This record gives sequence, structure tokens and C-alpha cells, in this order.
Amino acid sequence: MTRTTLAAPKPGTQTRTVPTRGRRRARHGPVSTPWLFLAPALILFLLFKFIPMGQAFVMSFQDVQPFLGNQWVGTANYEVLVGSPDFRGAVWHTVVLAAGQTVGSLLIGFVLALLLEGQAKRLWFVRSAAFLPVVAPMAVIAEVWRIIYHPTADGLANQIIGWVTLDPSQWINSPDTSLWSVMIVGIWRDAPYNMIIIIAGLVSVERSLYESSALDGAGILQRIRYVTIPALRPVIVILLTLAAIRAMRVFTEVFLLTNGGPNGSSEVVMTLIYRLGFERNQLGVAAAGSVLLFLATVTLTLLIRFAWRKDR
Amino acid sequence: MKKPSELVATVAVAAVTLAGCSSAGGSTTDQNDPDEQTLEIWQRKAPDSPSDMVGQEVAEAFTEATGTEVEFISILEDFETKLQQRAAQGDLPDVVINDTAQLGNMQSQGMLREIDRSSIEGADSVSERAWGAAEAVDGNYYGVPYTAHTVAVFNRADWRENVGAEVPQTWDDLLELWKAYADDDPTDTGEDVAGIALPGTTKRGYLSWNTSTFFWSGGGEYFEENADGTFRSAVATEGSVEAADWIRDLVCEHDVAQPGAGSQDTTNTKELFQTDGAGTYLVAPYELASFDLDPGADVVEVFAPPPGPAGLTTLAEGNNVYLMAGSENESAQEAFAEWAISVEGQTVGMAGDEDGNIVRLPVNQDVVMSDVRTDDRWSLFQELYDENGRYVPGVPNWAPFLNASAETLNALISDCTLDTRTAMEELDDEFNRELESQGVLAE
Repeated sequence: MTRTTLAAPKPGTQTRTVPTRGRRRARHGPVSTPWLFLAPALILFLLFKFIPMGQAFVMSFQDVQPFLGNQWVGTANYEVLVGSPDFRGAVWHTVVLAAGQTVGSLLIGFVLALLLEGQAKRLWFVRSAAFLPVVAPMAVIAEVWRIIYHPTADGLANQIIGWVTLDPSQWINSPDTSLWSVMIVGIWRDAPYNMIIIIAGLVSVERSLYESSALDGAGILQRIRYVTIPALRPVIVILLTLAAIRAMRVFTEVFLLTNGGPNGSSEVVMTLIYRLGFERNQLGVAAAGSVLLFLATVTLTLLIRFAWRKDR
Repeated sequence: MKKPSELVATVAVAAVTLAGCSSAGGSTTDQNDPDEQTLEIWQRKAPDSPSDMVGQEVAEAFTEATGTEVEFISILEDFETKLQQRAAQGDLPDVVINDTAQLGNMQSQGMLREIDRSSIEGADSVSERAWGAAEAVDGNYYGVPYTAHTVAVFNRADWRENVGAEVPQTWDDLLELWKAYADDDPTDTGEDVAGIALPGTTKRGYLSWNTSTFFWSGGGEYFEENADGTFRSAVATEGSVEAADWIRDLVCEHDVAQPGAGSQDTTNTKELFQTDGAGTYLVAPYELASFDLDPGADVVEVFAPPPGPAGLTTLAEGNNVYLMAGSENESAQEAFAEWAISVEGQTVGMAGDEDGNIVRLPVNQDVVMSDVRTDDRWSLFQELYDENGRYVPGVPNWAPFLNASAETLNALISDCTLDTRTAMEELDDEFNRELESQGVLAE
């Protein structure tokens, strides 16, 4: 925690009356001061984050019956969850979706950033246009993509793949393509966000490095490989961390586009938790799923941070 | 992002919460003075919808009749979740008007007061069929019937005439009609239209719910029910597999449902029917008023679904008045239930021919339909309900079965390479497992 310095005493004013320990307190203010400043945020976090999280943790060991009172069931909820093929399927889909969406949006974001970096007015316009998917509400995006994915030959997406003479696809309506269709929407939404962060990172790349590498005979690809990417390393780590966490908790787009279907082919952990909790009324099992998802997210985050520190 | 110290804090909070976790009781509650009792009534309808308005009228009429003040609240989104939240606080609304199919779910959680049928004034006027939907698996009653309905086929009469077809009398006729809609350009515009609007999503079990009429009429059964209140799954029997196959073939063989049916819910299908996208829609009479506006009263006809191989069974549904446990206003609860099933209470809820009625078909047999409504299509629904209506099976909690069967049917229409029998056998296992976990699996 950062130390807050408040009312630094003038030299010599208090030294005579207050012994060493007191002097320290005088310099830094009472011990409680930083906590007072933090209190509003902490109280809100406590009420709306930590206590509900704690309750979910408790619920994951209970048969939850709000009116009759919860019963302790030990680890039964975890056993039911981990033993169900639905959960294993959902974990696999989440991993595939997380990996695909993270890598896809990072690559496309990077390419977009290289294309759209610069000061010109028209670039500013194109950048804003490209950024629109990030600010549009997910519910709107999902409805638009439902229309785009209309599964007949005159659906928009099918017309586009028709140009390269592909047969119309069922998109979100077929178990073979539903997960990929959701992934495309995710990449489309996340790539511009990555683009903006990477553009910010590109600004800090020393221009002279490009010039000197060009003088040394490096082509465009080599300059990207040996100058741009190493310079962007911290940015990429942050983006990877954020994208991985976001992808683990993916819910809205799947819920609105496919609701986990058809035949569970796009069920992810969050939609499964929702279904268990609110459609099947097994709140204890759903809480167990949330706890596992939380642990997975924490582990993944720590792993990425650890790998990064070691790298440095 | 979490630091280890924060993790420790979380666990600490969890421990504290654990210690402070209290349970709400379902025990007898101190009662308010009978003259000062008020009621908080919830119904599962959209706020500010016509049904909400009718609900307010019901509340006012009840207050006028009895002097009891009522706060009448309509909630649609996440109704069950909000009820759970109130249950967790140990402070349920006094009365909930909700689907008959929710009875097992709420009863098994101890949320409902048991009803003594003989002590409810006017109970004898209520049809036996409706009372059946207020009875739990233990043979006791946990709700008072309030409204009932069943489904019929809404059809585009103009399209039917354009393709030169008669009102279908058999399932074959029905399929022919749908194929004609899909192939013969009934709109004369060249636009592709579907034969039937099918809400095929698994959400809320819509697909299974919407096709249960076809499932039963096609010879399907969900359970084999024993006299001692135990059940065994029947979804893998010959009749059930054939019925499921027929439903699957609407998409896989005959291609008469709208494209993308497998991911659409009733909002989508209603819109599809209203915007000239499909020729028929199997739905309950609560859509009469809105279909009279779009696609229009002059082009929509309503007829009974033609009988299938096993005759005609239509899905019956309705709402019960549930008297919630833990209320401090028990005598007012009972007064409301008695008033709701009286001729007056039913008539106010029926709201004449207006949109938004919350009593669709009256459960009180003394109500004469033609005295309240001029639209004679209602009598078709009344007839279907009386003759062919069937409520969902009386298992302790129907929701998991509804979901599981919707998932299986959804898989069948989404992946036409699946074998129906294999899928239904898997569902059979799942049904029996669920029966076991609900404690009613037959030996």
C-alpha cells in the first residue's frame, strides 16, 4: 500500500516534545488516516463483492433452499459438478473459446494497430469507426449478429462466404459451427480494444530504432519481428491477462446468441452456472461452479504475472 | 486482479459469513389483526402491460369487496429469482399468482401453505381438472386454481386459400398444408415463408413445452405413473420415439419450420407469425388480441389441432393462486383465494374481450363464457381444454424434465444425423436419474 504523507511537520517544531516513535506518526499522520480514505471504496467492495463472494463460497458446500434453510452437504456439490459430462464439455468449450478469442483478437488488433497508427485526421476517423464494436452494448451486438448469421443462403454472412464459393453455413444453429460463430463475434468485438492499447504502446517505440534497423537492411517483417514486438512486450502481457480473464467469464454473447446450444455445443462454464442456478434451481451446485471458475481465473492470472516477472 | 492478501481477506470474509449464516424458518408466524391485514400479491406478467392493468383492476375490485388493502405487483423478468431472494430474506409476498407447473418447485422448497379444499368457500364450483393442477405429488393441495387455458392452431386463412387447401383434419393434411406454405409461395411475393413458427430454443424448455401437444398426440408419454405416486420414465417407449421423430422431421425431413428455429424463443416466433414469416403457430388464447392486430383479425383463423396417431391431447396450463408460507395475513390470503374463484373474481380477471385478461378460461364452472366475452373463439379453447386438455405430469419438480427434454429435442432438430432412438434412450436415463433424485422413482 502506498504511504500517504499528510501535514508534514516543519523541521524542528515537534522534535522537542515528541519522542522518536511519535515523530514518525506525526510525519505520516495517524495510522488510521489511509484507511479512512480507503473506507468508502472498501465498504462498497465488502458489501457488494467480498461478502457475496464469501456467501457463494459457503453456498457451494450447501444444498441451498432459501426458505427452508440450507443444509450442509460437504463436497457433494463439487462431486456432482465435476462428475457431470455437461461441466467437462463446458470447461473444454470455455478453454477453446478463450484461446481462440484471445489469440484471434490480439492478432487482428495488432494488424489493425499497425495499419491505423499515425497522426492523420482520416486515421482518427477510421480508428473511431473501428472502435465502435467496443462501445456498443453486447445485447445489441448479439441481435445484429443473429441477423448476420441468418442460416439461409440470403443471410449476410452466407452471402459473404458465397463470394468465395462456400456453401451456406448454419452458423449458430448447427452444433458443428456454433462455437466458432460465437468466437468470431468475440474477436470482432475485442480486436478494436486491443488495437487502441497497442497503438498507445506503439507511440512509445523509439523511432530511431526503426530507422537504424532499416539502414541495417531489415525489411518490414523483420522490423516488426525484432523491433516492434519486443517493445510491445509489456502491453501484450497486459492484454493477454485481461483477455484471458474476460474470456474465462464469457457469458453475454453466448447466452444471447446460442444459449449454450444447439445440443450443448457452445455451452461455456458461465452459461452452465446460470442454467444450473436459475433454470434448474440448484444454487449450491452453481455456486460450486462459480468457486471453481474463480480459482481458475486467479490461477491463470498469477501464472501470467509470474511468467512475466521471471521473464523480466 | 487479486493479490494474495486479498485472497486471504476473501477467505476470512467467507468464514465470518459462514458463522453468521442464518436460516429462514417456515414455521407458524404471528398473525396480524384480521381487520388490519393487507396483501402483497405478485403475478408473473410484464409491468405496465395490459395484464398488469387488469391485475390492478382485480386488486381494486377485491379491496372494494372485502376492504382489504392490496399491493398488486407484476414482475416478468427473473420472476423465480426474485421470489428466491424474498425467500432468502424469509419475507415472501402473501400471495403469488403463477404457473401451475411451478407448484412442485415452490412446494418442495416449503414456500407454500397447504390448502384445505373443504374450507375454501366456492371450491366445489371449480372444475376437477383445474383442481388436479393444484395437487402435489403427496396428494395434498398447495394452491387454488385461478385460470386455465390450452393451445390451438393459429393459421393464416388467406394463405390457406391461396394454396387451395382445406382446414386440416389429420396430421398428414397438416404437413401438406405446411409444405404448401413453404414451397408454393402463399403470399404471392416470392418471399420464403415457413409452414410453422417453432420456438426451438432450450431456454425455459420452450421447445419441449411448445411441442408437448404433438408429443402426446403422437403417442408419446413422459412417464409411467403408478398409483403410489411413483414414476418411471417413458420417453424411450415406441410411441415416444415415434412422436419425437415426427417433431424432428418437421425440421430434418420436411423442412417446414423457420430457418434457425433451434435458437429462437417465443418472442421471435410470435414476431415471425405477426410479420408474415410463418403460416401457423401453435399457441394459447392469450395471443388472440395481439394476432387480431397483426397479422390481422381478417386473415387469422383458429382451429383445433388435428388428432395424431394417438388422438388429440393438448397441453393444458394455467395459474394457481398460491398462498405463501410465513405470511402474517393468513385470513386475508384465504379471503383473496375465495374471492378469486368466485363468479365476480373470475369475471373481473377475464376482462371481457379486452387485451390483457389474466383469467383466460374461467375455472369456476358457474361462469358463462358468452356472458363475459362476445368473441366465440374462446369457446373453442374452452372445448379443447374440457375435452383434450392435459397438464404436465405431477412430478415433484417438472422443471428439470422440461429442460432435459427440450435439450434432447433441440439436439435432434439441430443435428439431423443423430439417431432419435439413441437420443431418447439417453433422455430416458436422465429422466430416471432425476426421478430418483426427486425421490419418486418406481422400484
